[in-house]
Amino acid sequence: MQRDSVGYIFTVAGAVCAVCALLVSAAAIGLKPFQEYWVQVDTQRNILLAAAADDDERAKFKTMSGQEVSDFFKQNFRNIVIDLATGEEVTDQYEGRLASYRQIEAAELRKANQYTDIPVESDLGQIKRRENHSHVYIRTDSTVRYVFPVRGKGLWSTLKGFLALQPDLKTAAYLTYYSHAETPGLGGEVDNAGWKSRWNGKIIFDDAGNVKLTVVKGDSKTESEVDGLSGATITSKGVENMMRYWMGEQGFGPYLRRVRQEKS
Amino acid sequence: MSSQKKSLGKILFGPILDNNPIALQILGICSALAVTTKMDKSLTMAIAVTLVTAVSSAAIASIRQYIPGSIRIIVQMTVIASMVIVVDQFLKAFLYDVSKELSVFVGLIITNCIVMGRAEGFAMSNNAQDSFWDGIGNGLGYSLVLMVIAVFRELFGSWSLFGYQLVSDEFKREFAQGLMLQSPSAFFLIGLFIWILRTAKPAQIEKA
Repeated sequence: MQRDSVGYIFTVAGAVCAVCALLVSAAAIGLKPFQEYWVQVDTQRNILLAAAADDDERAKFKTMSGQEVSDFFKQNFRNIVIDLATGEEVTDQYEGRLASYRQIEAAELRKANQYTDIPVESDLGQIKRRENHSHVYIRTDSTVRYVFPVRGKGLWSTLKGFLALQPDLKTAAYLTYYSHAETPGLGGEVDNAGWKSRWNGKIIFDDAGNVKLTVVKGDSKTESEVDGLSGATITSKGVENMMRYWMGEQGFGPYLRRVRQEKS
Repeated sequence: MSSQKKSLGKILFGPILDNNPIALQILGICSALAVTTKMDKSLTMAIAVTLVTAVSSAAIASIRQYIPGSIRIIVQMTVIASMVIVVDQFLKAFLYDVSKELSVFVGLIITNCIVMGRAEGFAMSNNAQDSFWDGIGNGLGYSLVLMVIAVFRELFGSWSLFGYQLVSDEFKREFAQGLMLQSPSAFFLIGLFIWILRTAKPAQIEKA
């Protein structure tokens, strides 16, 4: 075939694409187990950071190796799955695939029978769909913490993170986001360690069990107010709405009520 | 081949100081600004670029007789892009934390002019072996600049090297140069690097 003929060009282009595609898919599939291990360690590390007793322990968790994180998680945490609508534990349905159940994917990728559409009027977090089952991580050693995955819309992006509650299930301990794309320096300050520490001790619920926590402009005056981020009104509002959603009846409300009842 | 035969030493070590891709050819500056705030990031990036340049140059050189002239750039891009994705997958599998920090910049190696420049400028007219070493050499030249800049930026910006803090927290708060962590500082440092290099090797000065 002539070197500049159309047929020859298509043949070469096709051959190059085929070889490259094969190479890329082989790498992607062959390396997947290793990548998933790290994704899992990363999730566990974020849960550890949310559940840390204080900033010193948090610094320790931050520098732990992947193996140490896995071990610590295995020894000191109980990972359960609950039905959000009823608050009942359904962990036994997930035997053998507990760690690989990705609840956000279940909702975002619309996996059959695994998600519920959220009616617009109650969609405080603006996430449109909510998974039916959610992980809850309970730290069981000397520092007891309940860690809940939360997410919701800020200004530009969906903020995804973990909220840790004290053992009374009314008081916050820490809020950390592992993924967001808010404006650096403004909304991006949700990553600011000083701001995150202020969540410790904030009372989320009133006596009737309704969410009363608010994110306010200026200085917080009561123990149910968190200082908003200056210059980031919409991100702050997003954080507040996400708390109201996930701590409310649509979110972990039924589960929280159940556990509180069991305790008392 | 048309170009005269160069010795292996010249191919490999020429691009480090005599024909440095960043300092003389002024290629690949974008990533040199982006990833040089920390030394471990820079080192990973340097190794990734060196590998991609070497392997893709060798691959392109070995099929250069079969590449039709009209689509040669596209073929080069395809080969380079595939290599970059493979490297990115490896980083995600074995250097997860660094790959998270490098984020999009690994993917952007595809658009790094050094890789394209060597593929089009060298690999298309030389054999696979020479192209491989040429890629390594240019990668090393890029790495040298990256590491030099990263030393200064991490040292004066965070007072640490490879993440190990060298001074007390008080000293760091007092003397950390925030500018060093911003992209413009890399411009100044590259400029100084080129100045010093051209003072030492006047042959590199372009005629006005």
